[in-house]
Amino acid sequence: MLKLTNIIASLLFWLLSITGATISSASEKLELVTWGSVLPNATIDTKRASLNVQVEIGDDVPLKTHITAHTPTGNMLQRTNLGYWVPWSGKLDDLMNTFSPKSSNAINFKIFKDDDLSEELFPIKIMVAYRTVTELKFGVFDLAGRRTP
Amino acid sequence: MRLLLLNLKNSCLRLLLLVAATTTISLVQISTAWVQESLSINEVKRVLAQAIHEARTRGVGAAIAVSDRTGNILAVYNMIGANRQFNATGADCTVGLSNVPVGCVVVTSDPKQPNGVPGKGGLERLDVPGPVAAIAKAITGAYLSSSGNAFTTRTASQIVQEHFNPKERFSPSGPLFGVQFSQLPCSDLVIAENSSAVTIGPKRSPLGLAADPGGIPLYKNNQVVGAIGVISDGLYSLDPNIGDFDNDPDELIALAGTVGFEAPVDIRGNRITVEGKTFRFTDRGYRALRSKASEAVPFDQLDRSVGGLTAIGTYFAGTIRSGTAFGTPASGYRANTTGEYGPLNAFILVDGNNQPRFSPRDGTEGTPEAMTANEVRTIIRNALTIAFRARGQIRRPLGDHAHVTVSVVDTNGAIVGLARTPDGPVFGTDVSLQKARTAAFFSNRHAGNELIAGNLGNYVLQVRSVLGPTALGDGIAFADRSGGNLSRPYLPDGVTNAPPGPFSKPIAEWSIFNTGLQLDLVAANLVAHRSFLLGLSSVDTASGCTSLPLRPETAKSRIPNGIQIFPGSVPIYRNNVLVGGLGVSGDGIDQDDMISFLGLHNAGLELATGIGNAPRGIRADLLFANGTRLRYVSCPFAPFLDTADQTPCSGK
Repeated sequence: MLKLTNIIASLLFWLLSITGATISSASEKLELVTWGSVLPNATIDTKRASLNVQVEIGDDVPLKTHITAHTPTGNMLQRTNLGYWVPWSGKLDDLMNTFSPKSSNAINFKIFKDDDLSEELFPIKIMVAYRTVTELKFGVFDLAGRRTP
Repeated sequence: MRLLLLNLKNSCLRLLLLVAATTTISLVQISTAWVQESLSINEVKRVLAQAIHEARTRGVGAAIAVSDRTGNILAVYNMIGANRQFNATGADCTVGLSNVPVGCVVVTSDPKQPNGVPGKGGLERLDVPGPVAAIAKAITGAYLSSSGNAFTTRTASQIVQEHFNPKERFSPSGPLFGVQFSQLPCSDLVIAENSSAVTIGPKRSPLGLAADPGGIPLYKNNQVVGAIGVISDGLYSLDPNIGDFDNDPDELIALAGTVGFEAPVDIRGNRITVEGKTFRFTDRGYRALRSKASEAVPFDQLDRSVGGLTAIGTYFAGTIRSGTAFGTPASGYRANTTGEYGPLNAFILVDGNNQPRFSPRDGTEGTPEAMTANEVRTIIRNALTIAFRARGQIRRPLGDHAHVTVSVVDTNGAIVGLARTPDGPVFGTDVSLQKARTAAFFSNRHAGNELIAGNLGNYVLQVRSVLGPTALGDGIAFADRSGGNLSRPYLPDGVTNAPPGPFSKPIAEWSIFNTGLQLDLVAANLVAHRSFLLGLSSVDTASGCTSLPLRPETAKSRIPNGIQIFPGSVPIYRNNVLVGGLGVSGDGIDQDDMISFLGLHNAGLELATGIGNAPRGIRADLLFANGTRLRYVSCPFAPFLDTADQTPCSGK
């Protein structure tokens, strides 16, 4: 039979999924890990997409922050500190610092702000990450689009 | 000139070429001169009407789906009363889709046990709405077929079981053992959106590929334009006995739908052999139909009491669509125009803006050993060159070359290049990528630890008990044929009563719906997708399969479209360092092996940068398991159309 752990993971995945402008959870701390955490999926209005992700950092001291996107057709993009999405090689050394703001023990990643994604295919795989002196911690989620007429 | 001739499809074109021999005719020109066929809305309605007429004549209801060649779902129709009201546990499993009550089908590895086989695990006893299974069957018929071969889901049933042919004790497993878990809804290669606005393929299949008879390709002017999938008996199963000829209602209803769109007789599965065995196309022919297509009630005149179009998930919006012509940008597949693969008539995948999806690029590792874009390009060109020279095993007419898809990945599983021959079966797109990733993954020193992190440590323990305590952590090079050896329910393969391979379930639990590690890697994704389709969850499965650790370079695991366990791939090395995997799919498995192995070998000779096959001292064929040596690759004896070379892989 199917592994119970897999089924539980699937249910958790569903419970954590939200529709809205900010991914954060009162009941579940969103944290990034070196092997990649699975963050709740999100759904955005494709014509006017705004999305933030807030993650807790504990005692970590982030030096740089990064945001990338993988589209269904294979394009790899990264977000610049000015909010532009530019092609990315896929190499970690080529990641730009987004300078995402830190407050107390959390980082707020601004993914989209009033962006028009109506021409895009979904789901888009988003990665948010920060780099400390010794390691890169990251998390990923799928972004679905709600197409409004 | 010789190479040009090999690529011609029929004698008329050969004649044309001879007449025009004084002028220059490129392969691209010939290829694009073909009329690119597709199904119109009226033709889709005709297919539906004919199938519905046969079902009504037989007094049964059916769920019917029509797909185009790249998986666009053109119609889903559910007849009232189709399939089952109660699932394997006796619970009511009907759902209302588009105000049409839809029965369910139950997954069973034995059609004589409609509630599943006790003791078998995995997907056994799971129920899904009938139209979901019909979609999987239609996509299978379309994806397995090409202008050179017409295969059905019955053909699929024949080639995925523990013996080939099924029930032939001591015969090795089917050549496409494991292919049912491809084109998965969680694959990161396939396109999830399936609408008239998003026509590029390949699309995903809700259940992977089907082995339940009743999925049959549709043809126009000798070109595959799609397929029909039918399910009426409430069972999503297979045919475990090839020694008889069934009167399968699913298959007969589907066959009725194909009238006027029949596969050319000469390319049907029953004209094609592998290992001296003939494939099965259908168990019954058109004479077994009880209805006349000419008497079918036109679709638009069907009463609502018969049934209705059924919207389902991301697959079908409820309105009949026309198909997309394969080979045009709208299909997501077209001829490459950059010339980067030399004079070869290479095809590529494109996005909705007609831009290439997987042009060669550098590996993502950022290490000195990582592949460069030029190396990837050279590997693909050399692999395709072998394909264009190789005698196709599963194609007609005899003398046609192999048609395949070639994928290259880096050690993170990132796609760094993908191209194909023009008429490769569509299923090979996703499968070649699975194969490339599987070879790269099992050859990676992190494989064991990542499986343990993904709660699959039981398989690591099992493989280490067979191959030694360092297996999956010691850098041994695994081609897909090697990993496939370990994934069979009998090891050695086919030897009845031999113990299972360490990646397989024991035979008492094993079925094509419970293969072992291959399924367990993606089971949660399939369950999540089923819940999404049933409306039990608002969230679909993630794009990217498995619960293994993620890679920051890809935001996915190293195997995000699952693994594949039949041959056709090799890991790629720079000297002694693993740098990726090369996967090939679309023709016979020995041909796929040869195209990957020789393609990489020849690329290495051309590049002289250290790129090539694994050093012989670390290949998995040095390992023994259950007293038998694992295999690395197996190439055909006299494979080429243009030379008499024999055993071309020996000594390399």
